Amino acid sequence: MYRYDDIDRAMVADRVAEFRRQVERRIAGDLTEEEFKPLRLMNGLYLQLHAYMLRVAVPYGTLNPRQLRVLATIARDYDKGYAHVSTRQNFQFNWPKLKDVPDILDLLAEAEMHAIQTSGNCIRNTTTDPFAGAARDEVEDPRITCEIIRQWSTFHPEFTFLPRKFKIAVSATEHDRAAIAVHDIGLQIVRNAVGEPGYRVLVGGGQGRTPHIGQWIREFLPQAELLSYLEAILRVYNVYGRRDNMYKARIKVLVNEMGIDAFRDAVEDEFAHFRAMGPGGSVDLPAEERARIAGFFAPPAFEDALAFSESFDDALATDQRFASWVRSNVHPHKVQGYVSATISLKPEGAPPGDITDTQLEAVADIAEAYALSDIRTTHEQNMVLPHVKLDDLHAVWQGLDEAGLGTPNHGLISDIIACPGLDYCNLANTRSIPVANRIQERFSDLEHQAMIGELKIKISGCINACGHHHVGHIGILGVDKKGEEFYQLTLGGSADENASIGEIVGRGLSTDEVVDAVERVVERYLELRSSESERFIDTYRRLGADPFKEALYAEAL
Amino acid sequence: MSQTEATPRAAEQPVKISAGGVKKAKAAGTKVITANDLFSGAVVYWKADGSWTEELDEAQILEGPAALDALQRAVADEANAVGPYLMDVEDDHAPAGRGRLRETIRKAGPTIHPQFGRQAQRL
Repeated sequence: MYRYDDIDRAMVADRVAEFRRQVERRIAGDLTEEEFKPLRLMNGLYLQLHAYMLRVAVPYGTLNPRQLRVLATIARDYDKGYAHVSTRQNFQFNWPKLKDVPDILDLLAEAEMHAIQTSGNCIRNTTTDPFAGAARDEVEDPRITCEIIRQWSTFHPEFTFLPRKFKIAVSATEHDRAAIAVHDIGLQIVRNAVGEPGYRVLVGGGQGRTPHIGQWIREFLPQAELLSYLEAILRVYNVYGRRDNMYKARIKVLVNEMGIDAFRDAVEDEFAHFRAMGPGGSVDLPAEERARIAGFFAPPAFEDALAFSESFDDALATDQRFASWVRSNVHPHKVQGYVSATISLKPEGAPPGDITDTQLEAVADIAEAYALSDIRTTHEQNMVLPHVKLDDLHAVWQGLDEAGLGTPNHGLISDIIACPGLDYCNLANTRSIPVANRIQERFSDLEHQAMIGELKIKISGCINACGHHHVGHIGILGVDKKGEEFYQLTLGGSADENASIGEIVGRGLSTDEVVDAVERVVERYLELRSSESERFIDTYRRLGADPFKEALYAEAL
Repeated sequence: MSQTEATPRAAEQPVKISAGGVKKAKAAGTKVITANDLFSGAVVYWKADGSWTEELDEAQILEGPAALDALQRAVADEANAVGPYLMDVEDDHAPAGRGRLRETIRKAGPTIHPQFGRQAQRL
């Protein structure tokens, strides 16, 4: 993984020292809240319903055991014993005290972490495939691109005060696990006809109150021209993006108002300006610097392992719970004898994405012992051990299970994305997490879940869509009706390479109705699917919304 | 009935006030001033003596111009509280109106973490 150099170290240390002084001045009364608020937000510090919330950046979701242990320490010493994985692969702490935040940031800095660019109208954490560096079919490790974008965008003076926040995601495989189509910019790493690596570029995707699927703006961008092309897009957005109405200020609104062709023309004009500067005059990275950054993501020291593991096969045959976990949570690896494992943070009854201090330490220990010290967070609010030897998989699972992290439900109906909702969030209209927990309880039979197969439920407590409901196979949006919680269902959304925005299928449902309604939709799917291998989303696409609408409102008719 | 008779003049309608989150409410009915503590972020309520308490039952219940006057004083107390606004309450301090659920959760803590928040301290 990327390691700080002296410049990084000094930059982060200076930033913490600066924020420490700002906190002192706020507490001393030398700064008003109006003056202080933008400063704390630039350091990831929000004020939520019950307390401050600190969002810690996890660049492209990559962590090492030392960093996990620091997060555990913060959870234990400065919070209430847990942390929370966000849908931008970051970590959030829900209970820090203002005076403690500079000390927390110091601890993070010692482990090469920070909270910069986790809030505000800047380029946020670039996200990617949690199986980066391990996926069988990836063109190259997408984290190289993410790290280049991180270095380019951090404190970029031109893009510190954009019209709104800006999110970039990178995928290096055909199967998109990074939801690139619902990002301001989505990059897919591809090879052209002669085998050169480059990017397909999507622009103008996003969720929130006006969801859009991104549109292709470039079918092939040479690898070496990445930053000048991104800079061209950002410049067009910075000049033409609306600043008079925050609800219309995201790039998706601009792209759709201009039309993709006019937007592309404007970007190409700006891009031509960079190209005219020639080598050295552009923002593009010299090849040797790219190679230096790529060096940080060189494959770890994989052992020569056999594709077949006797100990794995024995465990599979004798340990039923392990076998269930392997079926749902284990993924193929590009190196023979290795696999990737998803650590579910969705056990029944717990807030999706929460992990305790002792669990963080358990994951750190397991990663160190068995997983080449590499850990990832996922935008679906889980974690991943990307490199596990098949021989070690049973021991890994036993360790995870002992720590309460062995739930075999990745990609299944109980693996729900849920925003913090009205239990924490100042903007929420309704709660999300209790609905997720009730759905988990209704479908608590893991065998039944496995029989249902891949089904992605995503829940947002308000129209800002932090719970990604627009791209849920079943999406649930909380709406306030005269002070009561209601839930609007959408069907047919997807965040993968066939991305789609879910369709609203009727009136809002009361808190009492919503779980029954989800169950009826699932039952109808089981009746209608053409085979056990036809996923919910495939059946929905084959048949459309009507049969599901009938099921959804059957009891209410 | 004409439109003018059906709709009171704007000046006679209750003032729109900030009501927490992104919502607005009318400055009509019984209110309590609430905010977050500057140091801990904890939910606090305005007392009659101009200090803050974490106990809703100890908050001063206000109405009409008196509520707006007190809110001005609360907003000026930058040294202790962040973002004061008026919340609707019943006469017994119970959260009321459109923000009832939000304020009930602010008072008690997250419903999904009974071991955390204010409710945990009362166990």
